[in-house]
Amino acid sequence: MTAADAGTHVHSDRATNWPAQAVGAALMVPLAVMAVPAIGAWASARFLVPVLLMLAVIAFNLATASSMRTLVGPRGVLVSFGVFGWPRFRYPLERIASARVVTIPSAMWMWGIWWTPWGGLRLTLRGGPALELTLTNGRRVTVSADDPQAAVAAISANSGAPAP
Amino acid sequence: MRWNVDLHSRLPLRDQIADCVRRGVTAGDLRVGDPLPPAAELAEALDVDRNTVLAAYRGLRTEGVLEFRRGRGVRVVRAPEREQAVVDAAAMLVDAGRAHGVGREGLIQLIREMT
Repeated sequence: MTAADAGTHVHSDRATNWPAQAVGAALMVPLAVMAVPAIGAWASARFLVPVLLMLAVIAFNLATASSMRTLVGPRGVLVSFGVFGWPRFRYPLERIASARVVTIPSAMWMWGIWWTPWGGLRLTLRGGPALELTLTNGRRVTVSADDPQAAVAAISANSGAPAP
Repeated sequence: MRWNVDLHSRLPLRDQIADCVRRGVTAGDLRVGDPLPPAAELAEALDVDRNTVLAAYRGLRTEGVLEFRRGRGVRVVRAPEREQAVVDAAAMLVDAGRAHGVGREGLIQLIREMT
């Protein structure tokens, strides 16, 4: 064991998408403007309820999908979204068969938490570098990260496996 | 950003964690304004007690390197003081340059070649 191998090796990573947050914030303004006059008139509840719902969804997305955090260490991989650190996803090392760096295209409608039969679970908020985990049950998880190569190295170091 | 602690080292864990932050800022992995992972999450990942991480964070806040803000978590607000060992080595380099007629530009060029 070299000196670099001694001790606990943890990698913390963060991915952000400030433009998405700015767009989300900008969307809130006209919606709020629409909702305010409707609040006094209960007759327009049919208008008010969907608008408030849209505000709630956008607020939720703002809080969760503008930044995400990934921690890799001996306890595995932990991915958490946004200001509240929730939702979160855990993958113990025993469940991870392999990990690699991928690049995901900038397809806006697939940001956040998405699952597809062909793509697996995607925890992303932008195009660009990402960490792709292949689990022992064959499922794939793709996670946006600023330095996925370091995340892969941390997974290898903690698994006791040689780096790919 | 890499965090490394050695449970067998004589250096207390909270000092090791604080050193990780200092190294991160010096290396550019952490910039002023960047948030650090929440203490509970980092503690779990490192398999140390949450209070150990909190002690490291609090010490760095006392030094003025970190700031705690409600709802925003822990952020880097200032680079730590320059590592004294590096400052001392630089002073020796400048003295050696002076003794052998190598001036500022020569020293800068030398550092560029080596880094």
